[in-house]
Amino acid sequence: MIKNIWIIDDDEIFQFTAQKYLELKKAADKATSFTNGHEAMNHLQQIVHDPDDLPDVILLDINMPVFDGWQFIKEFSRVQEALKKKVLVFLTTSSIDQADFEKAREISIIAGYIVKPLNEEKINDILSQYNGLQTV
Amino acid sequence: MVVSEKVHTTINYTLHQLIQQNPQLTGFVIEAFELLMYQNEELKKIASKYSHDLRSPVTNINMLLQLYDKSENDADKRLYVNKISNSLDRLQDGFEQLSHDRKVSLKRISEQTLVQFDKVFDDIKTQLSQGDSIITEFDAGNDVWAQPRYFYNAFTLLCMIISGEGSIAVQTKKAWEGMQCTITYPTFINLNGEAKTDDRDTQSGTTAATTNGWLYYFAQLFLGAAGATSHIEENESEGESKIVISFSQAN
Repeated sequence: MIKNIWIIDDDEIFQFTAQKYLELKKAADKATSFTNGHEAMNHLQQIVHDPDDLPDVILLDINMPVFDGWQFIKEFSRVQEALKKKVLVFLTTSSIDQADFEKAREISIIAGYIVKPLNEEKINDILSQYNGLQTV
Repeated sequence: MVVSEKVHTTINYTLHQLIQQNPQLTGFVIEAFELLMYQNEELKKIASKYSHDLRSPVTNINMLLQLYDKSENDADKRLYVNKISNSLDRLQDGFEQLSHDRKVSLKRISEQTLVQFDKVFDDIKTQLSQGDSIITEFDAGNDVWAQPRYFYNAFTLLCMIISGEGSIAVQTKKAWEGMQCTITYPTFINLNGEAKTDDRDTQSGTTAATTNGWLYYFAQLFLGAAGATSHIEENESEGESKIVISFSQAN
């Protein structure tokens, strides 16, 4: 089970359904939602040295107003070195644009690319990557 | 119509051949090609935006239905139904926005077409003024639906350049449907794709030259991209060729 997962998405219904799915699958101890990358990054910078509060997994939407997924990734790569634990970042998107997929493949800190809707199989993929990281 | 990579390559190849055979058309061909690509990019933007905006509520409904299916609690079920209803409203808004944006975008494309082809048209007219060509009627007079006018202009003026003489009569319409163009040539140009000899030159004893079958194919590429089709009839009588092009809206 993932200890702490962040859902960064401007879509309130996606936040709700993702949390329900994780709850149903008993996939996460704690799930926190943010409505844009800026809000999440501000919080991350405050807890950067606190491994207990840091997320283990981030579900990050690409298309968001204010501060989108790509901008978050850019900022995240700057603070990543200072983090006290490895954080898995999964891009989540409704877009089926191949250009987004290709761009994500070129960024090493992105652990996975998830096309919505979220389902059991996709949550299992996230869990298996997370569990794999814990056994290393 | 978003042009696929394969079509893009075909157009590129065809235009490359066109320029090689007719270096004097290089400027026009490059500008026309850039215009087509601009239109294609605009259409791609619309497709990409709505791949996200319309899929988003649909994926939410999908997830909510799965949650509803797994739920045994009536209060939860009511909550899911309520959120499904919200997502359907969002979907409805998305379709309405799509319809509006499509109109705005087509208008922008149309205006861009107007500006670029105005320039091309002026260049071609300058070239034509040196020869015997006569433009008998030439004004579609419709700014809203500019594409037929400009694609048509480009097409017919290409014919004039090739022949260096002749006349064009235009029956203009606001859209492709019903628009008709009659080109009268003292010399014969075959627009249907097969190389033919120039009748006038043959009669006067000079060496017959092949004419340009690629022109028809090139024009068809333009018309297809602009959402139109054309039908061509050729009539020959007493050394004069008459080509009647009837345009219609592509399905």
